[in-house]
Amino acid sequence: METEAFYYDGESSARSKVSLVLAGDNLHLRGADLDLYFPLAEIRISPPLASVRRSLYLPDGAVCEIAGGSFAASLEHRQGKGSFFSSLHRWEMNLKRAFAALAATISVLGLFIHFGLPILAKRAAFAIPPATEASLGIETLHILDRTLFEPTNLAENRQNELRALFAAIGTGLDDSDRAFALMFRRSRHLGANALALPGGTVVLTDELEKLAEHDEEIIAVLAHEIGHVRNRHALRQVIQSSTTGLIVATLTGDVFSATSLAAALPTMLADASFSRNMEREADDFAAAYLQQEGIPLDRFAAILLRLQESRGGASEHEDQGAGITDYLSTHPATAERIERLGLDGY
Amino acid sequence: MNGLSITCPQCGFSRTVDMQRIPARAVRAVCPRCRQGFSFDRDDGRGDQAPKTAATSAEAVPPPPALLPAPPLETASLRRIPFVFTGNAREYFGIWIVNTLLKIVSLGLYSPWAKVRKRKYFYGNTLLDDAHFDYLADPLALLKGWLIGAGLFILYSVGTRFSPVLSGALGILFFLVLPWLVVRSRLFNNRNSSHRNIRFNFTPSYREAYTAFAWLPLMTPFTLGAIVPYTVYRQKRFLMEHNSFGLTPFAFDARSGDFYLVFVRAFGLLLLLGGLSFASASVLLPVLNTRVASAAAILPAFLPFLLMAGYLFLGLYVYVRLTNLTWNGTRISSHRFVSSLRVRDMAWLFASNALAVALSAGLLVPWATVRLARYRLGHLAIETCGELDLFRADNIGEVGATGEEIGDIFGVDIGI
Repeated sequence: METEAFYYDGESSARSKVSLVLAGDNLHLRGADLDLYFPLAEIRISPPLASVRRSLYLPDGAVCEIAGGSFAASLEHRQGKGSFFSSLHRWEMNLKRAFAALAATISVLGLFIHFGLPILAKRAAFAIPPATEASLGIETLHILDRTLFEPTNLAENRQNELRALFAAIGTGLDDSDRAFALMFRRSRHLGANALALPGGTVVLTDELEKLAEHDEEIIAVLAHEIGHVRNRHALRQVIQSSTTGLIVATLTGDVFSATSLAAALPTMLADASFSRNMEREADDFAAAYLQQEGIPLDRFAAILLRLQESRGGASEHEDQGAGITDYLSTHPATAERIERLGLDGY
Repeated sequence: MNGLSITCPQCGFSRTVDMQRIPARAVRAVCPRCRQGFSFDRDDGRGDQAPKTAATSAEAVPPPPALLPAPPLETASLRRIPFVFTGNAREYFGIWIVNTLLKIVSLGLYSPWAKVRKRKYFYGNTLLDDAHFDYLADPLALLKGWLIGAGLFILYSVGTRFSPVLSGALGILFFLVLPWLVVRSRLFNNRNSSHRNIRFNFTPSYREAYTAFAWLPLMTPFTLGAIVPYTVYRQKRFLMEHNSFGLTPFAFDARSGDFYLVFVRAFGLLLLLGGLSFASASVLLPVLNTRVASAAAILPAFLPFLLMAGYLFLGLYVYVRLTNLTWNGTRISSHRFVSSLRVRDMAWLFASNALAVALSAGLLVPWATVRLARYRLGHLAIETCGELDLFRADNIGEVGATGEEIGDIFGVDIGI
């Protein structure tokens, strides 16, 4: 076995032509003024890569470039190395296998973002100390106060009544290290709404207090928010979306900026779907609490429907259920949520 | 004419001298500009830094046996050696897709290997004088940098979400370490790039890096932006001048005035664009309003897009002109780079690439990348009267990949 090669000695950029012969366990290099033997085991061979010339990195720092791939392959075979990269190479060079890899890529990515990431984020969220979570919550509240919130108009004694209801939900729980607190804010942007911040703070808007026709409806909403707090939803959401961002940044690292919009989309989609699962978890917690207190689940269903109407959601549209709009909306369709409460005919 | 280009190591002044006029035994010359005496190498005309180092390096690197061809100065005449890119989209598609899959399956841990494979493909398909470039980075060194970068990225994205104070602090910190990152990543990339088995190198100068990438940018608001062209000039000069190929340093002789000219032209175009959009908004719109109501409704909707396209074009104009200026002002001993990118070609390339990538949901990314590389390298060449055989190697150590990878994950582009 013999081949022609370019030889670069590593000390100058001069190029010379040599011929390479495999002689037993040695590589015999012969050129105009060269006659060298190198033990095969000490030669590093560049992995096969498309039609790029193969390089032999010789132990004395010199390099030989070989045009054809077969000589290098036979050296590798003799060395007993390089099987990983040669199978990688075969895979890359076969268009059918490349498309199979594409299909596998998409499904693996989808499966991971859908199933794997939430589990990892949950683990991580429960490992973070409550004090850290609480300080994140305070920072968030500051930002919201500057951007979306205005001070409440609720009377002091009404606030105290609602705080007592809220405290009642929190007392029976095993979350003793959690500082539950209820805050009141007015918000023209958010309208009737309630938010669970990281750390245990729940914010209720004046608009929601007005919308509710019975205190038991507010209890249902507060229980739902405490469900979010107990399951560390805010923190999990942050971890999930920033990890998705990291994955996307790594994958598109070799893509120029024109695709940044395409890169943002999966993050958005993933965010939305995580929220839906979390809403369901919070609904389940609220339902359990209401049943324990002997409050009819109708109250929860009633406030959900009224919330939906207050946001101008056409009910017949949401009844259609699944579809891309369903996937994109952060909350599960109201009808679906009510159904889960076991109130199909409502 | 048999010319030898002699370069002064002190001030970079260079002149081509007829071989017949150089006495056969002359080894020293006096620079006509700075009056500095120096010894020069008869093979490539490069002045040695000091006679002493010349002597020691001659001892350390024994002249290779007769395999060096005799310096072919007799045949020297100015010729242009183009860079040639031989990669194609089909090959790169396979590499790209397999890389992507393995990155996902390994939760990103494969990305250093993927990066090395991608770089090896692009370097290995870049030929100069029928010799390809080689990327030699160790994926394990990249992995360490990747892990640090990933940690910082998570910290940053969580921080910006929750704490303006923390994100501000991280922003300042990033600003402070940026010059360091620039130098480290340049060092890492150069030392791991080779051509004809000679590695590139970079002479780190943190002081200059902080001037070009921290102090001068800080001055921008105080000078109402008038310093920006100079800042860019200093950055390009810093990145080029400190490069070397083996023992041979790069030289950079572009003038800051030319950089100002590019920005002044771009500013003129900007004023024109602003004037046009103002005119269309204030004059055209009322006229249209009274005549064709539907046209008036469409125009305001399209105006932002037109403006956006205009600004992108301006950005590209500045980028292309600066790239050409930078390369054309760069020499390596007597070999000069020639870059001839055209704004209109690049605009077409970027626009069509963006459209193709968007419409194919990213599947045409490999095609777009290869296309861009082919155009850019096809418009870069080296002009020389000599041969590319006469460079000497340098013994250089290893350098960590942290700078390179952090810059990568935060999307800091410090390319030329």
